[in-house]
Amino acid sequence: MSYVHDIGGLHGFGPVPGRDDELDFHAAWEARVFAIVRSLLHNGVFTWDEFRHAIERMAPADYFASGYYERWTEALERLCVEKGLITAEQRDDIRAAMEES
Amino acid sequence: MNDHQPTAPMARRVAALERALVDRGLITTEQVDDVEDTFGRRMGARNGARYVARAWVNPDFRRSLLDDATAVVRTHGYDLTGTTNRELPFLQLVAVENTETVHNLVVCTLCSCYPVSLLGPSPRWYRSFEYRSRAVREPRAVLAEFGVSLDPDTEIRVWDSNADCRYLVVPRRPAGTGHLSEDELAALITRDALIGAALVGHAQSDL
Amino acid sequence: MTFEPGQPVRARLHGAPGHTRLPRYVRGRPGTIHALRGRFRLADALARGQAVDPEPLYSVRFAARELWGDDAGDHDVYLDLFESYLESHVSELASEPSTQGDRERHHRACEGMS
Repeated sequence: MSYVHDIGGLHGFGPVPGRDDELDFHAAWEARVFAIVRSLLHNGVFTWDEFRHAIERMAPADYFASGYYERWTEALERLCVEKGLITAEQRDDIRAAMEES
Repeated sequence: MNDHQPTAPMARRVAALERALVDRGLITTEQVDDVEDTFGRRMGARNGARYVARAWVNPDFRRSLLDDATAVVRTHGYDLTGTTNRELPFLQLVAVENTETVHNLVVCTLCSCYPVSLLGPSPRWYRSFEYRSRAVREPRAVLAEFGVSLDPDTEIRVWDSNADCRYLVVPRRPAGTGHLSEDELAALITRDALIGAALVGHAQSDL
Repeated sequence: MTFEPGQPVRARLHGAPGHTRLPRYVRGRPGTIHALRGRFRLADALARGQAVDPEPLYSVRFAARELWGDDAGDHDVYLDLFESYLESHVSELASEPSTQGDRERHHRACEGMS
């Protein structure tokens, strides 16, 4: 039994992209979500494995369609709701913030 | 894979999420600022390069690093000055050495495990589905794609950092660098060489 | 069951839902203990929020041909596997080869060790 992330040895992915890409982060929000997750781990709010499991449980199509730190953001929201740290309504508001201009 | 999402909506989403977590008392803005600064700016491949350069010039240090890299990093700190070893969560590190007959390559097939405190945040190619799927199955093809040409007899060891240990590759020291100082050697060592995805180039190109 | 470097092992099959750090591509495959990495808490339990005692974590070497067959290449893949992921495995090398196929496998395996 595996989730979608377990891709070691799979065929069909093609050439490795981004070899000349020297940037750690490609937008300020990527660095921010990276630091938020590390802070929560440091504070013992959840473990790495709980966080990884939240990423792994993404819908397979969404997993492959999302960028790396988008998967982190998605998983972080999911885990926070599951642990009762934010409410589902708060998460809906957070996602609605994407539509603001 | 799509790593080019519109930035502004994601920035608003992450900011809203951070506010909710701060309001709940789980993190503070100052802490997140500090972590962002530490990992994003102060951590980088230059730390790993310092370790390798010292291993090249100091045989005892090399032996200790290959025997128990965790203990060495614990003693010397992430930047080899001994001043930063208490600032970060504990790292479990294994150093693997490239030789005339062995080449090491590091991957994390399940996610993106990486020695962040020695190398900084992982590069995009390392996190890609393409690298994660192929490095364990066809490392010679991947290395050739990366421009790393190895003798066909070279033994390839792929390290899937799938659990608690992180891996640092000690690349081969290029010929003709006997006159260089430790700092000059460190400057030759790239991030990708510390993953096994590149060789360390010659100091002076005679070719 | 604890293992020693050089000991042949087999990665377990894995049917339980949930998080694990046992990748699909080594499940059921034979490998060799390379080194003991230390004692760590089983990731599968940590993901469920369970408190468990640390257990041995081993570096295990797998020949690419044992993972993907004869056209897989000649490289080795090393993974760090919790003791819970492993079972002892009697290598073909331990017993006298009997059939032609066994003899060929035995020969290939011996070549691989040189």
